[in-house]
Amino acid sequence: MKNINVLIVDDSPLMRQVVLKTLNETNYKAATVIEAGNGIEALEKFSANKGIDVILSDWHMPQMDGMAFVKKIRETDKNVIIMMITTEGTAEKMKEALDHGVDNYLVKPFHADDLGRKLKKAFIRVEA
Amino acid sequence: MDITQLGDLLIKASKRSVRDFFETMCPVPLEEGVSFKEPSKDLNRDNYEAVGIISLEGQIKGSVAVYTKTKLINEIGQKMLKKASLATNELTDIIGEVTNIVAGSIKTWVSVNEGLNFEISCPSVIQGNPYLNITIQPDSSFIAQKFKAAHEDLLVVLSIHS
Repeated sequence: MKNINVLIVDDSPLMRQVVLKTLNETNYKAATVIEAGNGIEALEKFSANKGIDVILSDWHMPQMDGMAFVKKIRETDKNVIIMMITTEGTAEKMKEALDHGVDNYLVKPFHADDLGRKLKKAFIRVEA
Repeated sequence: MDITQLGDLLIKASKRSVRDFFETMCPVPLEEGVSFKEPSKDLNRDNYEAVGIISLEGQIKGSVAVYTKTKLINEIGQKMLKKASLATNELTDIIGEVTNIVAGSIKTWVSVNEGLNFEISCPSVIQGNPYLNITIQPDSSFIAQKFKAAHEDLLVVLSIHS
């Protein structure tokens, strides 16, 4: 089983902990979990930590939001798997995210089981 | 859409949003209380201990505010994180994130059902009893919905202006 490196981006420490808790409950053991509180911090941590496989990002954050962060990442990295976890639940916003390179999308509020299923799907893709 | 229809819609959206949050992420008993379509002393906003506020901008302009007490915020944090106790900064974060989720769900519900689109800000949180009775703009329409979550008071207030 490949070691999987995950970057969790959310301005809410509560949500980062909720995501981390679900991540730990999957059968996958993430080799590294890095946390960031906004897009700027996430870009810095993504650059400083080579080998991130999966990014889990909120949309609404101060300084740089999740969509601006995704666009920056996709300028240089087409492979990292990006899942957006956000309160933005309209079809237009989902389309905007997918059009800009988001691979998977989860709307808050969510059941932990739904997040767990999506994480496993992402990890299987990393291992493929 | 006239202001009466909008008020009814926002009350429905508030109920749905709060219910969705507690059913999915924080399973505690939830009861819907009284709805208000204008400011009233019966809202008892002075009785709460913290409020999370989010601004709305677009086809609907105004704010969503979620009023709670520390005991409920603790309960929410403990349910979501399965931790016995929480630090003060965690309590601030929790009320902000609950407000974010409720406002985001209202936005989605109003957009999907009525085609009205607006953006939401990041949440701000005010704690401390004397500061919670936030002034509503005189030309605003106002709705409020009371709830009991985990047997504690929760209040959602929407102030909408043109």
